[in-house]
Order: sequence, then C-alpha cells, then structure tokens
Amino acid sequence: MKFKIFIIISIFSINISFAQSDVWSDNTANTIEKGRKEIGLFGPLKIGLRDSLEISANPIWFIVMPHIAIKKQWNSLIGLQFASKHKITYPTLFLRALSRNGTGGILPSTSIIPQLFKLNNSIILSKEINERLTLSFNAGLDLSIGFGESNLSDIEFHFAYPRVYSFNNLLVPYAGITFTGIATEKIHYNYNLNTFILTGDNSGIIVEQQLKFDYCLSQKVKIVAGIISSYGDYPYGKDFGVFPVADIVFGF
Amino acid sequence: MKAYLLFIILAFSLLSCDPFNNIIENETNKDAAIYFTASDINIENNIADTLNIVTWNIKFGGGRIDFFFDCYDDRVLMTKEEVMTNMEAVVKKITNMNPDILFLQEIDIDSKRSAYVDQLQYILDNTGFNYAYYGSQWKSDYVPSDGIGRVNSGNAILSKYELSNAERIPLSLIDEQAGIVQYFYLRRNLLKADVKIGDKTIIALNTHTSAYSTDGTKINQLNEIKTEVDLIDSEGKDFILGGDFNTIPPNSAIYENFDDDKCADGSDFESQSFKEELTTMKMFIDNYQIAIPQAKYDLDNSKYFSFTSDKDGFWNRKLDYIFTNGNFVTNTGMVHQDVSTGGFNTMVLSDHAPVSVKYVLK
Repeated sequence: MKFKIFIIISIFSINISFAQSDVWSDNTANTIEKGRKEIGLFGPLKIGLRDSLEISANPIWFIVMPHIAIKKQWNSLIGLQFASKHKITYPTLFLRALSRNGTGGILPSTSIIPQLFKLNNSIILSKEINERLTLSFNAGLDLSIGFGESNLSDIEFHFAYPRVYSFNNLLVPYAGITFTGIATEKIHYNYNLNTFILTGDNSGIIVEQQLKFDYCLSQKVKIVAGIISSYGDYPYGKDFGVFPVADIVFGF
Repeated sequence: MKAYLLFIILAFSLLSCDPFNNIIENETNKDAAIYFTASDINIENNIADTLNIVTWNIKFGGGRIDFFFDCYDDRVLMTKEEVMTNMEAVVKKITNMNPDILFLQEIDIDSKRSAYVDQLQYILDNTGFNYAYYGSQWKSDYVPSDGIGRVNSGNAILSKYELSNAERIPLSLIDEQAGIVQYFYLRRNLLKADVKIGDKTIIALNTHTSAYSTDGTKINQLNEIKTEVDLIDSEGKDFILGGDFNTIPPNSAIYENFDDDKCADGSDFESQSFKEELTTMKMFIDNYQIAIPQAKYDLDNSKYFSFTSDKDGFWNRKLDYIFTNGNFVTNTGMVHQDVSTGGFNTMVLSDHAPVSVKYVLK
C-alpha cells in the first residue's frame, strides 16, 4: 500500500512539473481570459491578468523551488496566433533538499549545489485548422546560470533529465508540435511532441510525446488523464519510458 | 464518465506494473540471465587436467574508495577515470590468477555510481575469457535513495569455455523490509550455467547472499542454494559453487564486534554478529568439498580471511567460498590476501580478496 501511494505521488509529481493542465492555453498561443483563474490539484495556478497576459506558478512547488511564468499573446503573425512564454526558476533550495542520505536522496548528500537560476523562454505559433482542431508549433531555450562551486550530478530519470540537463550544460534548446482538439462536447484531447537537443557532456536528443484527454465536467472542473513517453539519449545509452499523467483542474 | 473510467483504468494498470523496472523476476529467463561474449574469442584446444577456479567480490570497481555504506566516508558516485583505474587493476589481478572459470559478485554493467561502465564487458575484452553470463541482483531505472540513481549490479560467471543453459534463480527477499524498501532493494540470486569442456559438462553456480538481514532471510537463501546443489548432485551432475556467502565458517574465533565496523548501532549497515550462524556453513562443508578445508581454517583463521571494510586495516573475516561435489586438487585453495599469497596487494582492489582453487577435471 505504501508503495502504491509512493508511486501515485511520484507520477503526480511528474505531472506537476511537466504536464499542462489546460489544453486551451498551455500548448497553444491562447491565454486564459482576464480575471479567470485555474488551478490543478497538482498543476499550476494560472491567472489571467489581461485577455492576452497570463501568469502562473505551482503553489506546492513554489515553496521548495520558487518560480514564476508569464505567457503573453502578441499580435497575429502571418495569420498565426503568436505568444511567448517566459519562466524563471530558482532550483537551488530544491536540489539541496534532494541531496541527502537515505530515502528521498535523489542526489548524493555530498553534492555541492551552486546558486542556480534557470531561465526558460519559448515562442508558440498556433493555427486554427477548423473549429475542432488547432495546430501549434513551439520552440524554446532552457538557460541555466550557476554561481559558485558545483559537483552537481545529472538526474538521469526519464522526464527529469532533459529539464535538469541545463544545470550542468548551460543550454537546452527544444521545439515541438501540438494538436489540440475537441472530440466531443465534454472530451477534449491534446497531443504534443517535443524534442530536446542536448549539447555538451552527454550530447544527444530526447523526444517526448504526450497524449492527454480532458473530461470537462463543467466550466469549473475538468479531469485530465493521459500518457507521456520519452525516448532518447541518456548518459547510459538510449532508453524509452512511459508514465501516466493525471490531474483535476478547477477554473473560476 | 467514459474518460473518468479511462483515467482510472489507465492509471491503475500502469501503477500495478513495475514503473522502475526493479523486479527482475518479471523478466524472461533470457533477459534475467544475460549472455556476454568477448570481442575476440580465443578457444584453447588443449584442455588441461585441472581447471583454475576463482571467486571474487569486486565491489563494483570501487577499489578502496570509502562509500557511505561502510561508514568511513560518504561517497556515492565515482568518476569514469576512477572506475577505469580500479578496473585496470582488477584486470591485472585476474590476468595474474588466470582462472578458467571466474565467479564475480558486485559487478556493475550499467550503474550511475560506476559511471555506467560495463565492467563485465571490460573484463571479458581485457582478459582471457570468452563467455559470460550475468544475473542482476540490483536493478532499477532509478533508486531514489542516497543519490544512487540508476543501478544494474549483479553476479557473473566468466569462462574460457562455452557456456549454456543459464538460469537466474531468485533467492528469498528480506521479509522484514517495508514494501517500498524491498521494491528498491537488492534481489539476491543464484546464477547457474553449464560449462562445456571437451566432452564434459560442469554446472557453475555463483551467488551472493544478503549482508544485512536480521530476520533469517540469509539462512533461507543458503537453504535454497543448498537445495539446488543437492538436486544437481542427486542427478549425478558435477557442480562448482562459488560466491560471497556473507557468512563465516564454523570455529571462527572472532564472530562479532569486528574491528572495521564503523557504522553506528542500529544503522542500516551495522556489521552483524555471526554468533548464531557459526554452524550455518556446515550444511555445505559437511556434504561437499571446500576450497579451503575446514581443518586448515581451524589451524589459523586469519590466513583465510577474505573481507574487511577498512582500507587501512587487514582482512578480518572469511565470507567467500568455493565448493564442489567433484574434487579439488589438495592444498591448492588460497585466499589472495597480499603479495605473499598471490603476488598482488589485493587490499587496494576491493573489500574482498579473491579465493582460488584448482578443480580436478580428468
């Protein structure tokens, strides 16, 4: 029983970090409308500051890993909706918490964690193919800047690895494509393919695919369930991983 | 409602699997007993009258780096340079011993702690061996404890001669561990393979039993090993069994409070007392031939000690054994403790010393 609880928490944790909770904003150039707020049970709190400006942070993660993200929708570009996302994260506290002996020691207790700041900037271009399908392209760059001595080792676990890779290797460019659509009135879907380009010590490519379904109970509640897979070059060689993602998102 | 049901089914079907790929017993035998070959195969046509047999726990190429589980220091990970330096020294010692069959324990093939070096392939490619079988005793995509991360470590049987019919026989898990600890913990095994030498087949068995069980699991494991070799013996087949049994021989003068134990009382890695296990190994010693005969051990325990966790100390207990239902050449059993017994200072190579013996083939 304890094991299953642990696994459930682990998988939701992946969702907290990496999954998106709203098909109509996160993976498209759309932002949520002014005044609207959305929060997932495990996902981030998003607030529509203006009709074209959204701010988000995960309240749970914020305590151990301060971060904030903004998404700005700009004027249309050659008939495409255009938005940019900007996020800053201070992972030092979290990495230090993970550096410990015993259970939960993701990093060795001897790890020297520098003062790290991770900047993430990306652009999203969306094209409404028809009333039921939107196609989006995204491209971005993770940039991590560290101050002080470091012997930080990689966290080579499937979905974490490309997201922490820049801590030791400065830059991780990525690009992807997303299909968001409406299957039925209540069921929406989202397919996303993202490619991370790893340069430096362990260069290579990691490709992630995510397929999620939203079951919209009402305008205020939806259940998100899906699957995420990754395949690519890890420090130990090529590997493939699959995990479920799940969340309950509230909007108000 | 359909999506909700889909979510429930999807989540629980995946949760009920083995998300970190830890449970080796879920694998097919072919995947659990992995076959390796050297980059160059060199078969000797002239078969000698005796085989040189060695067992050695090589501590995942860690040499004498003080790792956290020994409580001397708190190292977890090695650099590739450290691993390669240590493995070069291990290979030199193996070459020096020139075994025909080698039982290795704690050999890493894909672990973060040893910089993902495939130590088995490295040994195969840099010694006179041609073939090997490997059985994991600790395998996980990610161990979320002590900074260990990805690990794949286990037992290997290496041979100059053809190997076949390998099997990884799982041994009992430690019952007293909580489910989640057990899931990420070591899964001990008995690795078995046929060695074909000319027209003769010998069954080689390699094992490494639990080091830190206090609930009788290790005794269960030893009984399981005994049952397996008894079965082989009853079928009239020849076997050689080697490994790190984590148990001291009968008549050991020192059986607790070893001078190298630095771990605090009650710690997960506290050195155990062998007071209640002083006769445990008799089940093998009384029924089969042993590389170091009990009478010799009785005369001077210390000459046959094969383990210490203190790099600045010296071997202080015997945990490593080789048995057979055939015959060993008299007086050929040896623990390679230092330069005077084997020509190398093995103290710097691992926390275990190699044990060797000659087996009568013809």
